[in-house]
Amino acid sequence: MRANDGYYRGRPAIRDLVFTAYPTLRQAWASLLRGEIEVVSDISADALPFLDDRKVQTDSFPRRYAYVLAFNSTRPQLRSPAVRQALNFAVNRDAVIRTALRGRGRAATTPVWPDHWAYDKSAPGYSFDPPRASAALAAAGFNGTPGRGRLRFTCLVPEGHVIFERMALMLQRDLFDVGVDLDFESVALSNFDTRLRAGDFDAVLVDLLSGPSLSRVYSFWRSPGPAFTGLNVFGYRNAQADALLDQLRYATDDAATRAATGQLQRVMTDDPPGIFIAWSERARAISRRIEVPAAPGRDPFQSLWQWRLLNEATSHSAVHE
Amino acid sequence: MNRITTRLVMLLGTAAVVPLLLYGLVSVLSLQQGTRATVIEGNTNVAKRAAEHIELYIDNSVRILHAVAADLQHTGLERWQQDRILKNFVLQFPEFSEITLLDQSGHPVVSSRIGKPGVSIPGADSMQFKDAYMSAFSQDDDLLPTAVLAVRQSGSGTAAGWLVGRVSLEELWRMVDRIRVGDQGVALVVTSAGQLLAHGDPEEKAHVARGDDMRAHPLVARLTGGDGKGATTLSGEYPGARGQMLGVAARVPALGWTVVVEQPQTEAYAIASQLQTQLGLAIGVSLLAMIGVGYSQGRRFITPIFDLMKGTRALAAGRLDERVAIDSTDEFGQLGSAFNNMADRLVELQAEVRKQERQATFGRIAAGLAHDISTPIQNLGNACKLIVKKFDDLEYRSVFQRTIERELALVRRFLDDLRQLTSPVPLQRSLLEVNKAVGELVESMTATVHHAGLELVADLADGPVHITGDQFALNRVYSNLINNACQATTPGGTVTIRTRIEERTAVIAVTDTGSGIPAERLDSIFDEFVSTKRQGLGLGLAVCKKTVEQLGGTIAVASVLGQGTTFTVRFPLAG
Repeated sequence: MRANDGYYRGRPAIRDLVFTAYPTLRQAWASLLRGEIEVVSDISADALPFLDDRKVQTDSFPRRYAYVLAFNSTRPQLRSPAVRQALNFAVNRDAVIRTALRGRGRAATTPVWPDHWAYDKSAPGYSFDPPRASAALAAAGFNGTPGRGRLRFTCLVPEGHVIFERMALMLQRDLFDVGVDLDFESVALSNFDTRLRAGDFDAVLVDLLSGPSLSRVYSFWRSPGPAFTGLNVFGYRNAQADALLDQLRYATDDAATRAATGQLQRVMTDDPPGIFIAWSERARAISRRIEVPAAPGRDPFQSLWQWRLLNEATSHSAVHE
Repeated sequence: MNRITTRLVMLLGTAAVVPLLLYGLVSVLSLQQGTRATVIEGNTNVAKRAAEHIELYIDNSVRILHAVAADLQHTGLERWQQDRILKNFVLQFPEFSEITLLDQSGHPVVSSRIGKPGVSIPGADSMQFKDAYMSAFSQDDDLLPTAVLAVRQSGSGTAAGWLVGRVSLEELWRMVDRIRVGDQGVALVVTSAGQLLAHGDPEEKAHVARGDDMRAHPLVARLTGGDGKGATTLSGEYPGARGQMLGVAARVPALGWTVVVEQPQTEAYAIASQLQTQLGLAIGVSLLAMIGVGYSQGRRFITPIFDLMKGTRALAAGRLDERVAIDSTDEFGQLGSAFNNMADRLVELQAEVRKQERQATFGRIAAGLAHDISTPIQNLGNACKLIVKKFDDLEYRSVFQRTIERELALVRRFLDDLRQLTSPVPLQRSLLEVNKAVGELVESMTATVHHAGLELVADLADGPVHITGDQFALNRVYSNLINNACQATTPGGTVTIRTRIEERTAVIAVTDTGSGIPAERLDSIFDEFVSTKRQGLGLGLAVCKKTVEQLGGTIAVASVLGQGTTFTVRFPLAG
């Protein structure tokens, strides 16, 4: 990647970025410690307490990715907004964050990024309420009795990711407690996209980019139409949400944006496209040979144009991804 | 004077300085040894507790596996039921990221994993922990440490095999990170294979990531090598990245791992160093104070002694006006007052003695004057009376003339002696021949001596005897000695004057056959106003001695009572 001399905030000090792929994070980390690269782009925040090193600075930050158990809303058993809503009430998000994410994350309700300037904090979310979930499911015809009385669906889980698996197991246990049988299918990443685009799934556990702007929300959850195909592979259709997303896409007025955002949060809470579980947290590891402006809680990559190589004549950097 | 000072310094040294220094030395040594022992004991306890914690953690993980195994063995559970049990255990015990049941050949039977199981039976590099096997530790994709534990599953069919779990060792990292001894003391854990499992120093964690071999670590090498066979703990000092380190090591017996707690010596001994410095300062200040007080008090002690010694020497040298100034009220002050009183008394006594001496001298001078002057004057008076009567007697007129000349000569001689003693005439040195001078003098005095009934004999050396001297003064000396000899010798006696040369010295001896001089008077015979005669000032011998010594010679006397006296004058030969 080459620096853009015409960048509106200023000419970046680092001229070139070279991206190198490593099979494992451990190898990338070792390479960073050996001084072969300057940045490891994405490391688990869990390891931060153990990664202090005089050669490396580590910064954790809230990601704009949400862990989502996204439904295929075209599946008969998941077509009802009431059922999807009931499933949301069945999940103990705090326990998932505490156990699977080791406390590093924030509970999610909708795809709207909570740090977005127009985010409506007063919009209602989901509490962990198994009785309410059971009641809603029963009202929808799933009273939990074996056979047709139990809601059953299968969730695709990316293969080899321990966090996803642990999260999936916790969801499975929570849903089992309200009479829902959640099965899993481990799918290799190489096959994941194909299955999604083909609609060949009941549900999928993914880590979905949903910020910083609302354009990601639009891409993933706007109903496809003649003029827009987007990335909505989940079969989610909600005219009210579509209208709000369209309104937000073309909004030029802050108040209207705030109002539409809040309204969208409410609509997507009432008709949830999935179980938005948590906003995750990750970390960047950057060699101390690079001077990075201090911005606690912010992704260091946002200040990439201000990075400066210390004590080196050339401006080359390598990034692990 | 120096000796009492030396003794005082030695007294101060042996009584105060040396004991204080010895105390300081012993204290410092004890402090260093005590601190080292305390630090090592404390750090060893930390290392042992960490070792126990590690063993307990692994033991608990194995127990969990055994509990899972118990739920799977001999229960006749369906595969999906076993699957559920494994998943529940993984959820219940988050330190396990995976538990998988493998059959005898190592193929997965059921697993907590949704996807493909990621564990296998630990291989040849594994170690046995009780009845379980444990792999070498590795870092997972999140860079966190994990190891694989396996317990053998008995039973038949699919129930037989291995229950294998991947357990997180993150807790061990946390525990090691929590260990802090002081500000810089940290712990590290080394596996039996030498693999660095955890390091409490953030700066050293890269070694963990690199999987550094720590078998060369001084303590690990000793504990696992020949030196440490059988030992569970040991300690040592060795150079480290942060300077000289004080380290202790404790074994994790069941695992063969080593927990090392190391701390820079500067920090480990910081309190001891601080106390040592304070002790040194205290001792230094005490020493200075002691030396200061010792010097001050010693000076107050010694100065009066020196003053008294100085005063005593001054008195001995005759300076009776010397006084000591000791203004203290102690014994030294009293001694000083006594000394000054004594000196005052000596002055008084001296004045009294002088007064008495003056009075005695005046008496002797008056008596001498009366005798020496009165006789010639009386003779002159008698001669004058007779000349009036016998003026026409030509013979008497001749006698009168001789009498007048003789008596006036006596008076003149007396006056010359007196003048010579009080106001010596400057001597005129010239080369003299002694025999010639003595011969002429004897010749001139023979008639007078014969007239007194004595014989005057000259026994002169062969050949000339040359000396440097004043002819007139020496003639007076010789005549004085001859006259004295004549006066001390009764008629019929002999006065002999001899000259000779002895070892480059001219010797002139005047010997009489008189009554001799008592031995107790010989020592003062040459003093002024001392005379062997019953009357007279006694100036003659004093003038002789003074003249001889002024000319560089000596005069001595030897006498035997009843046999006679010899006065011997010696001059160095001229040339």
